[in-house]
Amino acid sequence: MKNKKKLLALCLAATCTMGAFASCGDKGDGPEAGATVVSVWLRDFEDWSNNVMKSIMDDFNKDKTDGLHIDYRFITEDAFGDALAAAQDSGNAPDIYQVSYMNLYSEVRNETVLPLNNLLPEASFADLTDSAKSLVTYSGNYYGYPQLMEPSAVMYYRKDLLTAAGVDYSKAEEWSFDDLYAACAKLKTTMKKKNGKYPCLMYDFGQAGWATQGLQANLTGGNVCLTEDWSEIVVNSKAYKDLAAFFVEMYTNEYVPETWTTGYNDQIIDLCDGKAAIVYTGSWGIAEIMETYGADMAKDIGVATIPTLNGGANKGTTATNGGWSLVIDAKSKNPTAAAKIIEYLAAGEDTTAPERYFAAAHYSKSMPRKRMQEKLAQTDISNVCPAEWLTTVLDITDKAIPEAIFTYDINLQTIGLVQGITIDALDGTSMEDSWNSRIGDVITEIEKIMANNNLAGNNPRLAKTGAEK
Amino acid sequence: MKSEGKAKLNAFHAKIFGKNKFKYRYAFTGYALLAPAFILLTVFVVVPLLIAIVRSFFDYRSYADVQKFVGLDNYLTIIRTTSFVNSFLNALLFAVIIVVAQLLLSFSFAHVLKADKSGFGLVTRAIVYIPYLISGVAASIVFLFMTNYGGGLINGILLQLDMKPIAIDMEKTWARVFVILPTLWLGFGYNALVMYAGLINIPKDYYEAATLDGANWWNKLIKITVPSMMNYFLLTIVGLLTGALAMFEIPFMMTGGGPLESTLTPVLYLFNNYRNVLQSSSVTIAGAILVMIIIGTLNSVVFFLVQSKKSEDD
Repeated sequence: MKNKKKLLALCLAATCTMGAFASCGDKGDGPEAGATVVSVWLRDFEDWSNNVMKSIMDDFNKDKTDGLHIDYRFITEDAFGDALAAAQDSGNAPDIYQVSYMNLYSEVRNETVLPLNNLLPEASFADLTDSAKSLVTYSGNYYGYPQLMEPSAVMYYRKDLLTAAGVDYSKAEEWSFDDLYAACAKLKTTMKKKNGKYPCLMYDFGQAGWATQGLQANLTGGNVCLTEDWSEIVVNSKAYKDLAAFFVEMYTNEYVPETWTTGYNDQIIDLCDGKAAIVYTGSWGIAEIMETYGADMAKDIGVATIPTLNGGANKGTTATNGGWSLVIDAKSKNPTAAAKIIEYLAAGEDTTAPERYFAAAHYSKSMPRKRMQEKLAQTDISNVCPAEWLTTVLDITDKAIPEAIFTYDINLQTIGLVQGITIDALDGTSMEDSWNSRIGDVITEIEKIMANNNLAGNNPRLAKTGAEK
Repeated sequence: MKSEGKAKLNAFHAKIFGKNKFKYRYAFTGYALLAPAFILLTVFVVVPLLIAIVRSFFDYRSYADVQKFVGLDNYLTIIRTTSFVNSFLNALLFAVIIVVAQLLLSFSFAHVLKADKSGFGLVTRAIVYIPYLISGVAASIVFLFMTNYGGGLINGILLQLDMKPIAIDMEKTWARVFVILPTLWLGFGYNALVMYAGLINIPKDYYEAATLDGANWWNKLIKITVPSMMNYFLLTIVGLLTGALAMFEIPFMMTGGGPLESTLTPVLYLFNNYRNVLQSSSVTIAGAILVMIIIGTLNSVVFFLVQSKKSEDD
């Protein structure tokens, strides 16, 4: 009996010790005496991403003379929102946390983040690209500092598979929809459905609500579902008929599978595994190729802007800019110290730390700062990723627009229209008949959603500053 | 001193429960046994529920000094949302199919188990119960592998036969089938065992007497088995109805609510809507409370109907 108790005590002690070590592992070195501790909550992303961020913050903590210490935590995406809401409700929110551009307005609306205009040097904002600035600006205030940007739609293709099918990819960057159809028609002879292979994997309908926003903007001349000020619906237009026709052509000719297990975010895996010769996904696909498959696979892969209706050398907007910004909690007890940490991580004169991150990301994320982009242009990155990939991604990022922040139900209605027409086409209904039978209901629904959420003319990205009013 | 304290306690109990010693003798033990459940339910269910109900009447912002009271606005917003209403219609369709199918299947299978004299009954009961131990997410992954368009078990066979594979993201009927199938599979074992427990509890004398009176199997089923099983049916129906209306993991994993919202359920809609950046989270909370009220109301109706029937029999 005594021995059993001892054994139990030993097990408990071991468990507690392991738990203590495990929790220490994420926190890095302890703070120096009298240091201001700034808590930072980041998303738990891929291992390479977490590792480089930990290393950057641990290096900061090694300096015991600056009076600052980062107490960092990585939280999974699923748990982040709940953990943050609970922390804010109980007064234990972190000083700094990561917010996606898509969700930043929610934080601004709820007044849970501080404007950074007076906390970071003016030079930090002046150095941001215009597209980066547009992602974090509301009513003339900067509510977050862009950490990274990821264009949501990039076309990747397997050079070896295209060559085997007799497809010339030398001008893939300029491809139109027709060029894509022609390439897919040839690829159908080698990428056979019976073997579980397809010429192309593009947007799946589950993700198309956000993933196609760049293409929607390309077709409409800059709008996504609504006009920029949200005063009118633009879905009942030739642009959206062209979008629907593109899906119908791709689906009815079986250039893409009707459904696919791998989601839009991970389709690069199917490209590398040879299940598809062309795939659409975000710029994050580059990191996946380089980290998982390596340089040998990279030699066989090309990266290009997605095909558009007319193609050409200058396609304009083809993607939205997703990504992450760093914000300071509105109830932070140390906003000035927190701003210093944001300077170190992303916004400062010394760009060593963010540059380390982008290199570790194989430049699959775009830099939001002009100075870093210019410096990168002078750097040989051939050992990190093919230079032409970077050129393409930077070009797409520069022309990309922010993700639409109106009620997502509007995106679902719009892409539901496209999906409905595609399903009808697969059942043999003509596109015109299907469009005519569906468009009225979709417009009525979008009007209802706009009225229910008081959206008309109220795009907060266009809200004027006090001075402008 | 000790006996004085005991006397006081007895007097206290007597005051509360009268002089019936049997009632208060075990009162302390009763409270002690009740306390953990009472405390846990209060902390994790009752208090959060009350907070949620209060929040649903405000445009809640965690850092605001004063919360703005909006009355029933959040409820009206969610009720006016077509997708939310459609999600309820989907859930009702699923509930009807799942409740009827599961009742018939599990009731029939329970008869097979009862009739089994081979000794394999125990093994069979264990095997059919296993899916109940699997989470909805894991079950969905199994079915996703089976329906993989590029060559899962089902589609692989169809492809080899030169037939069109099933595309659950593009065909409403198949999408619904592959939301219902894993749900039935997961719940079948548990419900069959509940029915089996009910069946073996019916006294054999009833059937023997009925046989002597010349009753056939149908008469026995309708006049003896079904009335005797009413409480088991009630348990099963309430469980299935609640499960079907609150369905989340399987449609989330299998179809994401598509195609064209044909498998969207209320909880899945609320999950997707929670981070709508332009809406107060209180709208979602109002939606969640509505879901709870509707499930509660439907279950009350079931209780009323099934209990009434039983009362008539009694």
